[in-house]
Amino acid sequence: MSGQASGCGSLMSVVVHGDSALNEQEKELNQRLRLLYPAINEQETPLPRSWSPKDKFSYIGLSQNNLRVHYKGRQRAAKWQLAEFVRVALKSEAQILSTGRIGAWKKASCRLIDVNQSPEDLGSQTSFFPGSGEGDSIGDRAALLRLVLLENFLHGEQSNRPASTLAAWSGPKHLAQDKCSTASKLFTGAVISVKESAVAAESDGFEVCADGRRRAVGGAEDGYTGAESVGARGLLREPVGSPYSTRTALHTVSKNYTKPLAVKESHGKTPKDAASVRATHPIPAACGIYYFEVKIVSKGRDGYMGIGLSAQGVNMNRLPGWDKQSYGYHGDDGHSFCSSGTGQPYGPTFTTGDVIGCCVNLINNTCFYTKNGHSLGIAFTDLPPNLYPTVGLQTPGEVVDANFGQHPFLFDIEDYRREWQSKIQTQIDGFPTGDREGEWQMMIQKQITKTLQVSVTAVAKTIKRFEETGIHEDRTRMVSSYLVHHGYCATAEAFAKSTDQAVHEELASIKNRQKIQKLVLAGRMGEAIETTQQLYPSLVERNPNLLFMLKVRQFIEMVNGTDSEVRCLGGRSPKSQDSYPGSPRTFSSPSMSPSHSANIHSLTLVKSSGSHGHLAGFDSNCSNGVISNNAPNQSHCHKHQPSCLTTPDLNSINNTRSQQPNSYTSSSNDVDMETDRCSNGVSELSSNGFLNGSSKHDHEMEECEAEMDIDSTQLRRQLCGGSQAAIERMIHFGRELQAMSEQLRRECGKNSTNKKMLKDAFSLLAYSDPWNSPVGYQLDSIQREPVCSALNSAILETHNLPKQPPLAQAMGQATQCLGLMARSGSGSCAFAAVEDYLH
Amino acid sequence: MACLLEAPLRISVLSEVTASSRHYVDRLFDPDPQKVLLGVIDMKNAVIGNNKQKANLIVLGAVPRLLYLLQQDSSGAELRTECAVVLGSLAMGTENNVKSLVDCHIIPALLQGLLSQDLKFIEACLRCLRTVFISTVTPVQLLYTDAAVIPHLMSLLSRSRRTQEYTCQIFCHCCKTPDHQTILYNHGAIQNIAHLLISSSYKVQMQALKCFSVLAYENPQVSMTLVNVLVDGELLSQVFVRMMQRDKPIEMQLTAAKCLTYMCRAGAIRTDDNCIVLKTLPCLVRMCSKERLLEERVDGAETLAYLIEPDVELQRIASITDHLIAMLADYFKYPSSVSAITDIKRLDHDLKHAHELRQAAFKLYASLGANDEDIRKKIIETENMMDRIVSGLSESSIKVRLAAVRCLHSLSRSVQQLRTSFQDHAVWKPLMKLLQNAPEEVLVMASSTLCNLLLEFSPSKEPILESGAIDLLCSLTQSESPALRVNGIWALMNMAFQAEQKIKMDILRALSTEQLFRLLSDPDVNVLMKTLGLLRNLLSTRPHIDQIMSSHGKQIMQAVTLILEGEHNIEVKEQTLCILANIGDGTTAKDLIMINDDVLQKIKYYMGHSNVKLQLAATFCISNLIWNEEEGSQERQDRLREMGFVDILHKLTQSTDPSLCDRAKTAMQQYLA
Repeated sequence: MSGQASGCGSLMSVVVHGDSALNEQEKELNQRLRLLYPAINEQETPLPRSWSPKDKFSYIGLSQNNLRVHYKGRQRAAKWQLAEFVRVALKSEAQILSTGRIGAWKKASCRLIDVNQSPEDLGSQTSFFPGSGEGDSIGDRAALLRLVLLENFLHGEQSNRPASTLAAWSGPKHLAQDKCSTASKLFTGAVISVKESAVAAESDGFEVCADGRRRAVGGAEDGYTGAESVGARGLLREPVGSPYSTRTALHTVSKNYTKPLAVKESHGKTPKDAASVRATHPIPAACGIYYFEVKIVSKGRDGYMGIGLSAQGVNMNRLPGWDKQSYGYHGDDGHSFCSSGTGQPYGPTFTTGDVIGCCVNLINNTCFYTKNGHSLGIAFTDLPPNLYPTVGLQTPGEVVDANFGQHPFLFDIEDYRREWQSKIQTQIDGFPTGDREGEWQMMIQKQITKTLQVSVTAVAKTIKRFEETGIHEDRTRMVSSYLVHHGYCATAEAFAKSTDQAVHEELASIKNRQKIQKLVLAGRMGEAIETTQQLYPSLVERNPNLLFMLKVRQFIEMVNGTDSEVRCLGGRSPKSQDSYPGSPRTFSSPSMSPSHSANIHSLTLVKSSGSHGHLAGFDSNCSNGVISNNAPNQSHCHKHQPSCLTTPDLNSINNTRSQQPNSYTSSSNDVDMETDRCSNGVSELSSNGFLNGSSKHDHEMEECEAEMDIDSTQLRRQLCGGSQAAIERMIHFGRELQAMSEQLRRECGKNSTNKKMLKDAFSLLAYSDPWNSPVGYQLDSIQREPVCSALNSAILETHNLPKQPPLAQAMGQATQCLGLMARSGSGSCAFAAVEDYLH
Repeated sequence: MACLLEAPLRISVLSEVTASSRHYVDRLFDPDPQKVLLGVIDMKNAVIGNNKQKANLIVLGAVPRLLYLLQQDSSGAELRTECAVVLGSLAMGTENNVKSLVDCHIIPALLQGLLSQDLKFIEACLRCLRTVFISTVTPVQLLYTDAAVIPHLMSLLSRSRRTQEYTCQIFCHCCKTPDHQTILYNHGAIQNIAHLLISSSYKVQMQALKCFSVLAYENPQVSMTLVNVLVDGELLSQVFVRMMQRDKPIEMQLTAAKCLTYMCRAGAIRTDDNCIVLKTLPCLVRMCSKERLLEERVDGAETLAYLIEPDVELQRIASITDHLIAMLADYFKYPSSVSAITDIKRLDHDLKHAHELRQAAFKLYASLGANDEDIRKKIIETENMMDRIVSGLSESSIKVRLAAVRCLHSLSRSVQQLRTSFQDHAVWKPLMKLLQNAPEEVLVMASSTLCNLLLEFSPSKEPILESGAIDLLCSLTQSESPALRVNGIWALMNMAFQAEQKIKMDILRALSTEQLFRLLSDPDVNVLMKTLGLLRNLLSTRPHIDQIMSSHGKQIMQAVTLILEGEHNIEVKEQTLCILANIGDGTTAKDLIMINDDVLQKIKYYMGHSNVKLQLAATFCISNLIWNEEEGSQERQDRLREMGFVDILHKLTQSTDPSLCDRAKTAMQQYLA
């Protein structure tokens, strides 16, 4: 390998190295953005992270991960060269096609490169890759790339012939099989980027070529240095003095360049030469305070750089600030431009080496700039929402680098954020609160109707409600109602006493509800239903859906082995389950000595008794899930058993699926059983399948996986507490439930919620270890809570008491309100989290 | 309330109050200690928030009795504590109250009380002491009279949060001179107070912080120690930086910024340190913003002015930070026209601070424009800036006048401004008026501004001369203050530069040769230099030289000889030789040198001096004397040849210094021609 080729090699290694550096940078970026904008949900409102290659004027060039911006200008002078290029390219293409030999093809590509070197000296035949022998992958790749570019070049923006076709005629013919993938990768990258550049480049064919080439390599190797290494320099002539000319790669190429292209001299004279680029995303309001910095790498000829903000749809052939909804601070005169062609004296001028920062305050909708870490004072007020960070350049040689959080900022933006955070907090804390409940309600009403102009005080009104306890009547009422609602009667009593508040419900009633809730939360559904029917006879009658829900829960608790009916059969000490744990989340699982065989036993038992239709529901679901196979699932498998990728058939996936939750069961045994059941599975339910279930399923799978580590270390749990009689009772109960469901459907019409509920519950039986199954979440004690609150609300409703405690309502209201603020562009939401006020 | 009552009614009410007050005092003399205690407690409740009652009790002589009770061991802890509390309450009243308390020797009594073992009593005493010392009428020296007091107070710093708070507060109000700083420093104030900065109590933190700010002020020793102090493993400067965070209370930010400013000015922190450039400076600029209280804005601007005064880079940064220059313009808008009508309270508040605000703004403008021409331009371009300065020069408040002159002085360093806006606004007029009878500090600033205004390119020079500046400046040269003498003679020097004959003669006449000689023997070398400069400026252009030398030649030659013989630094001697050179340029004046062998010998000596500058000046003088084409040049050349000057000149042509070599060659050519 000789000098040039090895040069390429080392460059590539640099690129690889750059990759890891990039990852590091990416990590740092994520970290910083999270720290600066904790209230941002990037799924909803992504933050700007780079300049947008799409939203730029063609005179602008991007590089270094789309963070560096340089001025390119029109580049039209290369037209004559373009014609030359096309001629040679056509010739070599023809040659390739006619000979069909790789040597010739390479030669042709070398010639092509020669063209770049010196258009007049076409015959000189200096080989571009002197040392690249057969099988030199770098040489091949480069040549191939050249060809792709040529293709793009020839067809320009109108054709965009798919890369695959290109690969089809060039790839298999000339390249060894193992290089094929590389080639196609290259092609894909090239074509995609060419398409992009075609849009940006208007009708300038040359532009397409230059840009296409650059990004073609970028697509394959992630970095434009690659493009240079292949010898793109001749075409992509950079402005003198730009950092590109200092690059060492292939200086020979540029040295041979005898005819300098006198193009740029006309540039930058008029505003017509201005060009802007904006970031990929607008600044989300929930940032509260947003900040980015731009370093002036070179001021170029005249230093007409503008840094600022612009809304969507603003003309990119202008500097920021000149047009409506566009704002900028310009380096040549230090003026600020607020949607106007004439600037206002604002700050100092800026030039090479300076770092200019732009801070958008989304709370009072102002903006200020910083220079080298020093705040320059407010530049704009009354900014509209959804502005994009924008830079504009106007003369050759201007190069700027953006920092959207990739590096530490020069200006102490965190300090500024802190100021505003404390300002808003004080505002909330100091918000005057009315004395009567009526006022609260009025305020909330207002808040709902005026949500679009929600300001921080509006949210404060709501949030304030949780913040203090005790002084104002309405607040005490709210607290006490909350206590009463949830049946914390002792507390409520004490509270009422201490605050002289009348509780709106008799204590006896509270105690009743408390009792029922206790039962539900302990999983003793049977008793709970019984007690409810006793105490509130009309309730369940009037509310069959509620009853159904309770019954389904009872079934689940039976599976769990916690329901009273099953438990007495299981003969466990009821005491261990009697008291509901203080916090519902610390569910203590019934711990029983595990027995592998017992598990198998119970499973077979289920199976044998399970000519029963419901059971197959899972199986169809299972296979369904596999067939509608989806990426997450596969990658999921990949993690555990990479080998399964080689022969991805249904069986193996099935295998892995069942194995993940039950990594301890002997796999052969298990697989046998599963496949068995698969073939077995015929049922009425299988037909309505889980068509939409796949995605959900995967999610659950992941959850299972997450919990797996913990669970596997725990002791095993057994179905229905492991008692045979209990299992029979459960099966029986399941039948009753099925019947009830059918009856319910006849009476009240279809109810998808009920159906899903039932199906999910029955699905539990399909697993050898329901707790670790995808539907196992139902067994979690947390799931008792919604049932409990539904029952509680229903009881309260019959007593004409509010379904939801006002405190919870207010909290929900506040949370919603904050979300709405974020969407409607009110920045103060960034510093007002409801959680901060819940002590 | 009292002022609203009719006069006779008020008197009757007063007598009633006095009568009821007497009852409280009487109870202090009850033989039953229990009843005395109850009486003191009742008194405590009666005086809280009632200045009238306080005054009454003092008039009725409660203080000596309370002090007596307080000092008596037999009184019992509770009674003594209550006495201290009541005294503290009394001290909270008017200045007169404090005065009477101090006159009753309350301070020694309370200091004695600090030696007690009872913490509550100590706290009460400290609180009372604090209140007394906070008042401006209390002589702080009282704290230092007994050498044992400071160490004891230091030891109290570890007792409780209250003792910490009060002790620090006492320290920071009693630390007024470098001596006080040294005393506190020597008793380990820094080590004892540093850890209080991270106290959980905000009040303690604040008082400790304030303590450091007064300790570090213009004190390199303290400042140098402070930078190396570690608080909980953290450098003190970092603790201060954290206290300047924007979410901290404004008072804390401001005081921490002051500490760092003082440390920086005392040379303990470099001016390009990040904690100054990126933290302290922006923090102080923030303190100047409209959102801050008027007091904070005054404090912020003054501290910032102090911080950036010596450093042009800091001035540049401050000038672009947050539109500071425009922000300061707002300082002149008090009392605002709105407040005058709508809100009496606010008008009062504004009026109180208006002067302070204006002088702070002037000070900061002065610092900002001290060195950088661009910044000066920006300042002058601020709305009505020159008008404000002009009216500031004639304000009643001395502080404002002084600050305005300082600002004017800063701006007068700009040639362009001297020629334009200074002329447009005729600033010389109020300046001259200010110079008539002003306190010394104002005079120093004003006269040094006048120096700039008298530069030959300044259009103000003429009108200033016409308004009798010469006499005024001459009288300044007779001042006690060296600064004023320098400024006076400096201004005269500037005035004489390339001036017409009449002005020069006026200066000489007004100054009188006696005064000139006095100035030539002035102990201040600056005065001497400027006087020589004046002489040199007077002795320029041939006719002037001859005329002045014909009238004052003898004295001048005497003075020159005297200086050349005396022990002076090289600059002075060089200046003197230049004067000789000037004299040698005259037509008739030349003879005064030629007939003076003494002087010629001196010149000869300096031509062979080791210092090139002196050699150059001496050679210059000789070259003037032997210049051809002038009457009698031949004789002079011969005479000097006789004295051996040619040999020296010949030697000097071999000099390594090019300018000296040139000069010697030119002189030699005179002989050859």
